[in-house]
Amino acid sequence: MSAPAGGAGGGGGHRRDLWIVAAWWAGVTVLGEILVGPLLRLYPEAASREGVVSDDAIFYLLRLVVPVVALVVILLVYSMVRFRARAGEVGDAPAQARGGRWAFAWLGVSAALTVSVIFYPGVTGLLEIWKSKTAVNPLTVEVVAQQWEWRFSYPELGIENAETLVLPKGRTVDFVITSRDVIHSFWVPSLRIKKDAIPGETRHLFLTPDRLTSTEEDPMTRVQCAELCGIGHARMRADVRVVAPADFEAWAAEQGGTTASAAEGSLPSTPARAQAVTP
Amino acid sequence: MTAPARSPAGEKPSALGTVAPMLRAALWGVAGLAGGAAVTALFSGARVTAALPLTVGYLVGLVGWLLGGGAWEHWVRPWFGVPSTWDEGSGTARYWRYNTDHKVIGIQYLVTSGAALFLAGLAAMAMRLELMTPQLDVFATNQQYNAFMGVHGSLMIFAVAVVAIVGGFGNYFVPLVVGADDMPFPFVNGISWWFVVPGVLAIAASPLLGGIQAGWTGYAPLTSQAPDGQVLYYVGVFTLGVSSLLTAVNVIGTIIYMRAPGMTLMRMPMFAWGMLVTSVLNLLWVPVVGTAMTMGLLDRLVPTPFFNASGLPVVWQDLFWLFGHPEVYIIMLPAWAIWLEVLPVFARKSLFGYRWAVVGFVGVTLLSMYVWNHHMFTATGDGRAIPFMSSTEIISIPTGFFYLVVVGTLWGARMRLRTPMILVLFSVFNFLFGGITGVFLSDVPADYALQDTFFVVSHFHYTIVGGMIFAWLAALHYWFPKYTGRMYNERWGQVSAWLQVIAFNGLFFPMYIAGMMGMNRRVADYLPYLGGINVAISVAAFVFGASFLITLANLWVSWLRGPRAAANPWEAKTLEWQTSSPPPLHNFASPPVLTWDMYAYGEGTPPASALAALAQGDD
Repeated sequence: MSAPAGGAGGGGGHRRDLWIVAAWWAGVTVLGEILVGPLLRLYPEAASREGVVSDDAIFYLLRLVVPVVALVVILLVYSMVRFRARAGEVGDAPAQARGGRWAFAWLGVSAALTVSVIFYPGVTGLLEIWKSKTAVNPLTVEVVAQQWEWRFSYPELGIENAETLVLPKGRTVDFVITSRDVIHSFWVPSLRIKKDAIPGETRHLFLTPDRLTSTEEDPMTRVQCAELCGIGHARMRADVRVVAPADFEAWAAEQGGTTASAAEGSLPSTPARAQAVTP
Repeated sequence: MTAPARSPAGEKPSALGTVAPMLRAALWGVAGLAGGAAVTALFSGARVTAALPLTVGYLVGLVGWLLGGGAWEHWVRPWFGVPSTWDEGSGTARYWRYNTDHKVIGIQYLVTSGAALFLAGLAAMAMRLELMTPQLDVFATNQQYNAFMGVHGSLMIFAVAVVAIVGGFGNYFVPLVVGADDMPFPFVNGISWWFVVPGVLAIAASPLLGGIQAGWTGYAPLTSQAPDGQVLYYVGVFTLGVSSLLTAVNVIGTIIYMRAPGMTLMRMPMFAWGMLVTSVLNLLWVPVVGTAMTMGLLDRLVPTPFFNASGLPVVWQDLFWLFGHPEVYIIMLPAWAIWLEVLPVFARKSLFGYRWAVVGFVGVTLLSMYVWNHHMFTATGDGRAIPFMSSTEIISIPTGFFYLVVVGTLWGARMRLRTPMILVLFSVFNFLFGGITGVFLSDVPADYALQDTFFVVSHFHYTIVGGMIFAWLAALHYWFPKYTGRMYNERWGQVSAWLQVIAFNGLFFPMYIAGMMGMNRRVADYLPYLGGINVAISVAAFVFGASFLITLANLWVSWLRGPRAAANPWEAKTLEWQTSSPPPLHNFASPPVLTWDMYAYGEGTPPASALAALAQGDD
């Protein structure tokens, strides 16, 4: 290896190597970005408006980190190959030039990336998800977790302790979540967003299912406890069906409660709901 | 500083004589445990294995163990004015008794955390065997699976990740790298290791009493239902914390007060910087987790409803993660320190950006105290989301400095790809994925979906195993000639390193996908649609586990009969290499003086061969 003496440049005199790394970086980044697309299409799409926001965040970050990972890995691998001591090569590498410019560039880029992801997809994503909190006429579903089962009540419809979670497509649901014993976590993988169920406390989760799906069709559409809650934790599941609004009304009527259309106009101040909201 | 009594190298003691003090310690420990538990059971009318008798028995047994190991002769009797009769032993006998030499203590820590790694690794293998199939078949009950899970997590975190580098290499090498003859409080240092063994044994024994059913995070109020194995978690973690605290005091003392002349803070070795900031975090936050453990224990003993529904369940999480997140950096800061210690030596090139690394160490340390709620985004109110998301993402800036220093040092290097160097490069590679996925988890919209899934499991294994354990393996090889005086087998070292990095990525990378597909954590059985990916994960896990046996065999055999190592086989420039291998009792023939830049290589820098003489001041 004809090690050029450390030049004054920030690259330590390995200008040609810099260009090779840059070419590799550009190539791998483009290839990575091209591959990310079809890969992400393999991922089953979220079944709620809020879940799509979460997916968008994951996908955006995935695209964002492709060049970052590519840069570091290429620098590591390239250095391992190019800058290794060949047989018979003894002694130290030439003293290096100061790389202050590179370091400040690194700081600037990493700080800019970090601040940018706080705002997007971070804060903007949260605001988008939280928009559902102010949805008009949400359907209240009281979720009670206890070892090791889920119970769903629809106070506006007079339905109590259903074992299957049935949701109308396109309407925001206000899940009022609590637990009777230990901490559980209410999670439907295909809806994405989860919320812990904490004994003595009440938490609200607002989700808007926007795709017809059910546990039979898609195992990701299930209620699954996500927080370790004892020996039945793994099997603490419940079936979920997201149905068309008309089918939902039919189901509600079948359950013997007031019909959904009748309940839609009712004030959200039934005793059950008031109790649930006030911890 | 009192110079403890140390016996001169005498005649070789018998095998029984060698281990006699530890046998006595075990005997007194067991007697204390049995006696304390029996008497308490008698007076309280409870079962002997109930929470109160168990706690009292453990505490009495702990004291018995400490006294039996040598604290009786070396601490208690001198306290009352009787001269100490304790013989600190010589040769291998030193390791089996109370000893105040930081190098002996370092080896004691290293071997103990290695044993804990082995035990906890076996538990992981059993878990992966169970997860080969969707239904429960290897274990008879979910409770058994959870018991193994509790042992795996608790030991790996509290007895391996925070102990292996800090306790092992911290004790052994901090005085050496700063040119000190020992630590400032050798008596305290000697006793610190003796807290590790009962802590490890308590956690390892927990399955006998129903196991640690709530996992290593011990979330209340699930713990209030758990069998009495939970008591062993509280007392075990507390005891391991005591050991960390005592070590922290000594490490800080050594670095602040005992550096060699010429070693200003900004000329300090990277390893010393890493150990200093880690010890500061230990000193500040281990008391918090100790408090949490005590409160959790009182919830069972009194009971005081701190954390059940009559108290505030989420407060446990706040207390646990107030410690638990700095703790992640207690794990990783030493690993970064090892990267930067090993890299210039094998790159044969000056360390790039020393000051950037120092800012990285201090920056991560400060920020690490303000990020804990990112473990709790799905449990706490929306108001906590944006502040903790921001602090968590900002910590990636100082973390990035370590990558800057790494790639800057490698660029234009003349790299010797020996086992320690390869392992450091693998650690850099693995941690990249651990760190990057941390950005996903700190982003709250993404975290709402990923929290409590295998994505999280993979993320923290990438940081702790991929980052810290690989760095620890690198250090095991890098310093092997120094602490054993012998050289490991290079070929087998490289074989195991490559096997480890391939199996590691085969094991943990698919977990990201499993998590996104709806595989939640801490389950023994799962839905059949997740079957295929779990088989692949398990197979890689077994290869990964087996690869450690190669490392173990290589280091073990080399320690016994490897070729003798020179004082400075890597031609390194830090002080620990400027004394014999292994170093003598007080480390240096005469107190070293630092007159050169330890990370400068190339033209115009003194060659490594001249440094030993330079350090002693005789040109």
